[in-house]
Amino acid sequence: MLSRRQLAFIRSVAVAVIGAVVIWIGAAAIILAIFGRHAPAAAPWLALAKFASLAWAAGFGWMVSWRRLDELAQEARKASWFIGATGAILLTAPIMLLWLLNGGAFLTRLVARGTPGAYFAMGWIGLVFAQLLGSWIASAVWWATKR
Amino acid sequence: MKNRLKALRAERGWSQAELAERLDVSRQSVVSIENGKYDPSLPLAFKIARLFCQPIEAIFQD
Repeated sequence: MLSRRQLAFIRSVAVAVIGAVVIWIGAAAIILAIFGRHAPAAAPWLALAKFASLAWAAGFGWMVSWRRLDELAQEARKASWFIGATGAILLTAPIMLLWLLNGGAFLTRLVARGTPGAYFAMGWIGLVFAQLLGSWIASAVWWATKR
Repeated sequence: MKNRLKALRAERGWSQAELAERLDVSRQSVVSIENGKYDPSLPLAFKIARLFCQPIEAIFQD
């Protein structure tokens, strides 16, 4: 038999998915009614509707997944993110020193054919990846100490 | 912090999963509290005290 927590989770997933579908279909119907099926002007609005639909599912899912955690699991995530993410930032900070050396020559050689956009994306993805990795490690250690 | 959660649970013949369901927490939380590895929040401590009809200080000790 499903527990209350499991039932609440299933209910929340249903609300997230159905809400996203309703937003997408509803917005698309309105946009197509206004612009017509093949009008190029509809494309950015359809993309925005798709984004709104995904944002609803992701935002609602994030909120619900946090609220359905009990206090121990919430503590684990808080501690893991704080320790893991700040640790990752501190550990990756020396990369900035490489940028300072010789006017960034080392990093420029490393990513020679990159565009400014690629540099930006690489920096963002790199930091996100480092923070995720740091928080996973911190999470594993945190749970090991609570058994 | 020490506690008598395991003994109180055993007196009632509840499993860890049953107690977790009654407290609306995960079984891992019950395990961690029973082993003294995690101190519950004040709201959860009150919930535990109410469930076992005992004052908090009768369940949790320094």
